[in-house]
Order: sequence, then C-alpha cells, then structure tokens
Amino acid sequence: MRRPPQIPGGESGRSRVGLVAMLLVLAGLYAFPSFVQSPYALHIMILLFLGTIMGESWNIIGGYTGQYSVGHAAYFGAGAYGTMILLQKWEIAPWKGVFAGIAAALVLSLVIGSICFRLRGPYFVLASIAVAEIVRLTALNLPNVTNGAEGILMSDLPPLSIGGRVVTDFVSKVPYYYIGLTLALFTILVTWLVQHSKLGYCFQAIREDQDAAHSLGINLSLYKNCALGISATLTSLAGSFYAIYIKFIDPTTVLALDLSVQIVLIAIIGGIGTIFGPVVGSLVLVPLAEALRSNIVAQWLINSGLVREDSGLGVFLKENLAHAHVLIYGILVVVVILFMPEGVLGYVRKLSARKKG
Amino acid sequence: MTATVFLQALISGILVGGVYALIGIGLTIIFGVMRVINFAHGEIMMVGMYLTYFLFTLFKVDPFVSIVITIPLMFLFGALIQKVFINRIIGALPQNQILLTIGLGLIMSNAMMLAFTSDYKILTTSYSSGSFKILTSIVNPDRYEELYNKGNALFAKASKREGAKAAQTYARAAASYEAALQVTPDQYKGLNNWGAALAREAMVRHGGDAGKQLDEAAGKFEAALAASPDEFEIAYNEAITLAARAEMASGPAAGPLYAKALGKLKAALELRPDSYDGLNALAATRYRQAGSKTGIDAERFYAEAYRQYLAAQAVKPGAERTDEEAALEKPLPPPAEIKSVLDREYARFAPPYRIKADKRDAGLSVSTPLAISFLITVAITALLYWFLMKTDTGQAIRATAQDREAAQLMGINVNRMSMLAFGIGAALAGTAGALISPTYYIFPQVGSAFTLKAFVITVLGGMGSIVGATLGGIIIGIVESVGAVAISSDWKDVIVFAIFLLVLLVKPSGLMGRSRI
Repeated sequence: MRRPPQIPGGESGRSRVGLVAMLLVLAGLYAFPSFVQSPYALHIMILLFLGTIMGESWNIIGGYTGQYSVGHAAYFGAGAYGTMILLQKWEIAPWKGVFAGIAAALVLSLVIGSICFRLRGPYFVLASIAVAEIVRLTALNLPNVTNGAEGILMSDLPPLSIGGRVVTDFVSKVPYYYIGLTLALFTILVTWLVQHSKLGYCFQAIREDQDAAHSLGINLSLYKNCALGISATLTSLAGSFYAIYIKFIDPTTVLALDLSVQIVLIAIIGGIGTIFGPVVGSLVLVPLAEALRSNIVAQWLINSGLVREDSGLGVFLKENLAHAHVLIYGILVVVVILFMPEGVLGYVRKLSARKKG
Repeated sequence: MTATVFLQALISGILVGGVYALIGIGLTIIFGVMRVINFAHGEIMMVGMYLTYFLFTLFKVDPFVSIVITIPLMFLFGALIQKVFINRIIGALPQNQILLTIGLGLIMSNAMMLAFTSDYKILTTSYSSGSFKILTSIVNPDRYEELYNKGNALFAKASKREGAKAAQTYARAAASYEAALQVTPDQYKGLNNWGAALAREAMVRHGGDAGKQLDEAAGKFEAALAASPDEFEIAYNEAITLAARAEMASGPAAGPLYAKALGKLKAALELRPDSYDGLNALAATRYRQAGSKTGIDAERFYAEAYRQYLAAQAVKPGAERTDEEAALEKPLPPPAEIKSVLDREYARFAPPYRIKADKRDAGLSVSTPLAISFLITVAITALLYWFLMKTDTGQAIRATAQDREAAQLMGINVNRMSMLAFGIGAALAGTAGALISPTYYIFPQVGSAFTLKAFVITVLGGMGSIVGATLGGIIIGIVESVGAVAISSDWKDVIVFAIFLLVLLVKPSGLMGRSRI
C-alpha cells in the first residue's frame, strides 16, 4: 500500500501529457452519447460510473484512511431509501431527495463511526458488518416506512425543469449517463482534493500508523469520522442515483452484505489508496459481470469452437454462466490478494517500474 | 411471556446453541493459531450441509451417522484450503486476509449454486419434526394449570392402585384440584376432575361419610355444568355419581336417586347419543335399580337394562357394528339368561369417570434432532478438548496459538499446526452443517448468515478461546430463541448484532478474556 514518495514537480513533462490525455478522455466521455445511441452501451457506461462512484467513495475511508468498512451498503441504502421514500410518499423530486439521503447517511455515519472507530483491525471490520446488518434488518422489519421485503417501485419520475424550462424528462438513458458521469467525476475530484490536502495527509497518517499519528497530535476520532462522513455522503449519492436509475429498491439489493463486499472489491481490485484504482476496478468488474450476465462469454466460447454448443458442457455454460459473475468476483479477489495485493493498478505500476529499473 | 414459554425458549436455545458453539469453536481455533479471521467459515459449513444432504439422498446415510464421513472429508478440505490459500497470507495485512477468505467464500457458495442451483433443499428424516417432552410434572404453564395437571397426574396414578392407597391418592388429587380452583375458581374442567376425584375416593373407601362425599362430588359436577352446560362428560360423571349414591343409600331413599341418575344419563346421552360409556352406564344403572326391586318390576328393569346393554355393545369401540335396530327387535332371551348376562357384565362394574385432560401440554417440548445433535456436539467438544489438552499434537497446536515464533524455535512445525488447525476448524464447521441439516434449509447462500453468527459467538466468548466460543454459542442460541418469543422473531438477529456491538465496545476481549485456546 505504501507508494514511493512523489517528488513534486519532478515529472512535470509527463504530468502535462497525462493532463492532456485526461482532458481528451473527458471530452470523449461527454461526447459519447452523441456517437453511441445504443441503450445497452449507455447502460454499461452508467453502471461503470456507478461502480466508480461506489469504489471512489469507499476508497476515502478504506484506501486513504485504512479503515476497512465492509458495511457501506448501509450508506448506499440510506441514499437509495431516503430519495425513494421522499419521492413516493411526499412526491419530493429526487434532486431534493438526494439531500435527505445524504443527511440520513451522514447521521448514520456519525452513529456508526462513534461505535466502530473505537475498534481496530478485524474488530472494526466485524463491527461495520454488524451495523450494516442491523440497518438492513431494520429496513426489512419496518414495512410502514420502507415497504419491507417488497421494496419500493418508483411510479414516475417528474421531469427536471429549471426556471420553468424542462431540461429533461428522463425518457432515454442519456440524462442518466450525464448525471452518472458528472457524479463519477465529482467523486474523483473529491478524492483528488482529499489526497492533496492536509485532511488527506492526516487520513494517510492514520492509515500508516494510528498510534504514531495520534502521537503527532492528529485527533484520530475526528479525522476518522471526517473520512467516513465524506465517504458516506458520496456512497449515498451512488445509492440515490441507483434508485432513480433502476427505479426499484429493496433491502436485499441496496442494503445487503453482498453489496458492501462488491463496493470493497471495486477498490481492492483496482488498487486501494489511489485516485484511479476504483476506476480500474470498475472497468474490470462491471464489463465482466455484464458479459457473463448477458451470456457473451458462453457464446464466445461456443463460437470460437472451444466448446461444442450441443455438448453437455456447452449447454451447461449457456444455462449457468450468466449466474457465475459472483463466482468470477470471488476468483478475482483471491487472485488479486495472492498475486497483486496492491490491485491491478499497483501491479501494473510495479511491472512498469521493474521494466524501467 | 409465561415461565413455561421462557423455559421452552431457553431449552431450544441451549440445544441450537450447542451447534452454534461448534461453528464458533472452529472459527476460534483458526483465529487462535493463524490470527486469520475466516470469513468463509459459514460457507465451509454450507459445504458440509451439502455433503450430508447428498450422502443422505444418494447413499441413505443418516445425517447423524454421516459425520463419520463428513469429519475426515471436511478436515481434508480445510487442510487443502489452508495449504493452497491461507498459508500464503499468514502475517499479511488483516484486511487482505479478510478479503481473501471473503473471496473463497464467494467461490464456494457460487460454485455450489452453479452445481446444484440455488433451490432450497430439505433433508427429511423420520425424526426431522419429532419431539419429546421433558419435565412434565415440574414445568407447567402456570399455577392453576400446574395444580390442575398435578391433580390429573395423581388421579391417573390412583386409578392404577387399589384399596387404601388408591383412596389416599384420590384424596390428594382432590386436594390438588381444590387448590387449583382456589387460584382460579369456576373452571369447569377443574370442577369436573375434582368431583371425579372425590367420588372415586368415596367409592374406594366405601363407608363412613362416603355417601356425603358423593353428594359433595355431585355438587361439583353441578357447578361444572353451570359453567359449561353442554359437556357430555360432566353430565355423565354426575349421573354415575348419583347412581353410586343411590346404590349406597339402599332402601326407599334409593328410588328417587336412581331416577335422578337415569335422568341425568339420558340428558347426557342427548349430547352424545352413541357414547359407549354413556349407554353402558345407563345399562349398569338400570341393572342396579332392578336389583333394588322385586317381582315384575325387577324383571321389566332387567329387560330394559339388557336392551341398553345391547345398544352399548353395538357402539362399543372396536366392536363390529351390528345393525342396532335388528339387534333390538330380536326377541329377548328368557329372564334368567338376561340376568346372568347382566350379572356377568355389571355386577362388579363401576362406570369410569371422564377426566378432563391436562390444561396445556405440560412439560417442555424438545426437538428430537436438536437433542441428538446437542449430544453429539457435547461429545465432540469433549473429545476436542481432550485432544488439545492431553495429546502432544494438541499441545503443539496450543503452543503455536500462544506464540508462533517461540513454538517454531521449540521445533514445532508451525505450518503443519496451521494446516491441522484449519482442518479441525473446517471439520467442526462441516459437522455443525451435518448436525443442523435435518432441521434447516440447505441452499448455497446459507453460509453468510452463519459466518456472521460465528463472529458474534467468537467475539462474545473471546477470540481464540474454546471455552469462550462454547459459552458464546450457547448464549447466542438462547438470546435468539428467547428474543424471538420475548420481542419478535423478525428482530432476533438485530438483538444478536446489538449484543455483539455492545460486547465489542464494552469488553472487546470477550467473556473469557484473552485466553488463547
């Protein structure tokens, strides 16, 4: 996890190239819907953004501050439920409801933080899981508020209008694309700001050695709660976005332990404690899951002649590979932890460093 | 929540807790030796459940017998996982260890889902839903019911005795009913049984103030009937009591008493016309009445008693149903023969009293499969404890848990001990899976709930402490079970997690402190 110290200004030439490349990618991303109209492609892109938002926001508490929360589904769910309940019960538009979601997530993060941050290492992980499970079970058992296990289905989304002019009516996927892209960029920006601020240095000091940080006068509880607050806010944004985009939420999709684990995986697989790690993680996991889900992989195996379609294996793959994406997640995690514990990004860096050196 | 409900919840909690303890002990041994928190523990248990399920469905191996196969197989499975995966991350960052085991868990549950679909499987044995009762004479729903049921128990005991002993026991039963009715008056069942006990005592004792006591008994039945008029049993009991009283009275006083008894019996039979006991008692009473008469009256009454005897025989339980009408229309046999049949049948006959059954099922219900699994759990835990305490290998494992480096310096092969420990942990989890498979659904995702439970148990008991995990398992079993009845079963897991958090905050070292294995 320790990265080599960066010498400021030492690589200004390279960073200028990087900046130009980044601007080009950005321009490309904003222009993407003008060239690609396929709803499926847009859907994949939106999922990529969603994955990035989740991964980046976890990265702030997990990657930078070193507090491995495996209960981020609680904040995701707070955002999703906050927005959805306000919309369905009081017809409050989601762009206002988002803030209710954030408020709920922040309150939750304060409660969780005050409980869990007294604990360290594995105990913290276990406590974060326990709290998230309590949140899930509470949502499940309060049908008056959350509609219980049935979940909430969005009836209709009011069009977004500014100053009486309708900006979008949310019929196509394009508005979601731009919202997702903007949110993803926003979380990346927040991460960048965190990394390059005093706040971020404090976070990283806590990550490297809590006791040393404490002895240097860093208020552990304050900074940990601060990191969790930022992380929870961003995660709840992801939750709100998910709820509005998918239009259906229930405790097993937005509050489950599986989701918490997936959020962690995105960051871990990409490389934690780095700005673009979660982006890479999202780029690895989302297309993989989608490819398996839509049976592209099985079809490809059959088409390439590796497996005969009418053979037992072919039939089996076609029928079951769609459900295998979590299995692949598991295999990926094991491989990443065993062979590239610093994530894909860290591994690539190490490889390139080795090549140079 | 009454005391019985609480005790019932307590006992099922303890039984389930035994299985939880096995899961917790497995996790705690792994943690103790390797300092690795095994997030795949529930999934390993799930593998054990599937193993048991297929041993049962394919080879007809009983789940409780199958642990003989499950334990070694799961041990090998665990040792293999340790060798291939876990061994590489001993001493790595705790988060990486956690993620690796989470990954392994995901692989196990999803591989199972691919192989066997996510359908719920149910392993049904002949005893899956069986249960038996314990503490029936001690544990009763409440004070009234306790006394009432005690009375019933005494009554049943008395009816098996003879002479003075029987009379004494009937008297105690009556006293018990009386006490019960002082707790809650106007309980017709209690009144009925009280009356029956009084009457039976009087009949057995026969003499002294027996007649008066029969009157008293009849009074109880009257009161019971006032509370619940449509009860055949009570009316019948009152009638046979009156009949007994009539017989005891003899002389002219008997006449009206017989008439009253017969009237009551007929009223009772209106409620249940085909009651064998009712018709039989009617015949017997007529027979007795006939005995008090002479001449033509006696002959007429005997004939009537005989007809009622035939009617009773026609509805006798277990008897072949003859055509009643036909039997009744047949010409009567000569009076002498009638007399001899009736003498044989009724001379020494006392119609049995109808006792109202126990108020509620007394005692605590114990699920048979859970009880068996609890016994197996106790045996395995004892065996494990012996192994760790008394054998060289066990001591080596404990030494590794205490101080890995020092153990290595002492010539202990710590890698081998780690493998053993993970194997034992997996074997225990697999056994727990086998033990709960007759009472639990089997599906690929069943593991994660048990993983969480295993953490709660080990943290509660103290990470690395076997005694702690045993205690923790039983406590969590009880909390779940009592919480489910005291609050609601929807919230029982919330209670468990809340306790978990509380322990983490107040005493993170757990109940048994920092003791290591």
